[in-house]
Amino acid sequence: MREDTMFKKALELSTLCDIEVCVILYSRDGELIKTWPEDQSKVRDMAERFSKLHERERRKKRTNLSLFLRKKILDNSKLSEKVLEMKDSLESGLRVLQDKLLLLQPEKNQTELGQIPVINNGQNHW
Amino acid sequence: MGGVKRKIAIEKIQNKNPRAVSFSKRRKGLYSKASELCLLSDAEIAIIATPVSSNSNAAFYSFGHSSVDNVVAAFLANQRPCDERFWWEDESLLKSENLEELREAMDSMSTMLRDLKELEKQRDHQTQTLIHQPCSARVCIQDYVTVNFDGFNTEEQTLAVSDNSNNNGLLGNLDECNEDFDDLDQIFDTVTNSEFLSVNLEMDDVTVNSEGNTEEQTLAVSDNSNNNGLLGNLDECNEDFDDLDQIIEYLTSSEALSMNLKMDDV
Repeated sequence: MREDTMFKKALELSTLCDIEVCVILYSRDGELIKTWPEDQSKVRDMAERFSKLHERERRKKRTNLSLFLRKKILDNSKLSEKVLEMKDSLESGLRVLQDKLLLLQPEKNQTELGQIPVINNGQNHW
Repeated sequence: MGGVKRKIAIEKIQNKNPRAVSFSKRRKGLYSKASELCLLSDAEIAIIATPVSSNSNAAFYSFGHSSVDNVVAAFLANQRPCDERFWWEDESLLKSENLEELREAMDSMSTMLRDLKELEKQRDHQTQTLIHQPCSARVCIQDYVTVNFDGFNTEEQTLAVSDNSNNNGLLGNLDECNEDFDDLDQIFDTVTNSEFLSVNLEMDDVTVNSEGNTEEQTLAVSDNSNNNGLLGNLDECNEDFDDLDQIIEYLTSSEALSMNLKMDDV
């Protein structure tokens, strides 16, 4: 199964590079399927250390499914459905954030306003 | 037989640089397997790894879907992850008034949106390229129409079989058909394919009618038994073409057809 493959790769990575690795796997309906290592206390300890990091530190080397697939474009019919879904969500989310950014900008003074980089989009009017 | 892949022992790599290289490569492999699992079974996964360097201030490497923070927070609280689908739908992001964070998120989202649009362009370009190959596709459909056209008699159906040059042309066209079959697995839109077939059928009706001149009729000089065998193979090819799932059978028929053509040369 793919789960076992992923857990096996996590084991190899932790052993070869002498590092700590943990994997948390939830199913579609939100049930916790399995963790690696099996001992949840180790996973919990590492998760707590991760949570205590500052937000900036956490963001540094973080990646997610959409960012990962950017570098590895998989042209496949099943994946293309996910791609369309992701694209729609991106467009709506981007629109919401742009509106919010426009609302926040008038609060800045003139000097900082001039330093804001221009975003190439027809909706922005300076 | 081919060479056997070398398997290394799963133990700590002593040298610093090879260990770092191995970490980088295997981490990507692990992320790849996790991404497959996320897409195929819609699971939510978080992977956290400590850095190779002993610097305690270094940041964790992490991969997550829908997001690492979401899955980790759910795990620590012994709860189910939230229903949010993507990281940019996070409530804290929507409520945040930090301009820097908002701009960073917007830049990332814009980049992803551009990449997705390029991906769709690539797929459309591939489909267009396949549609604009009239020669090979016309050959297959034309044979199909010829066999079913009532106005043709047996003598006219054997026009292009006896001449060696025509045989060579047919072989070339079949090669192009085979190339098309290798690419057909990339066609996503069945409706586009159906419309494409309809258009070509209309065009080929004209083509078939124009072939009924006297000059070509004089070429019908050949052995009837060989011609009948060749026509039989063509019928099999046409049947295979209607059902794309039988590509393997089509290749077998193509090989038989090639052998028949070689025999005709003798």
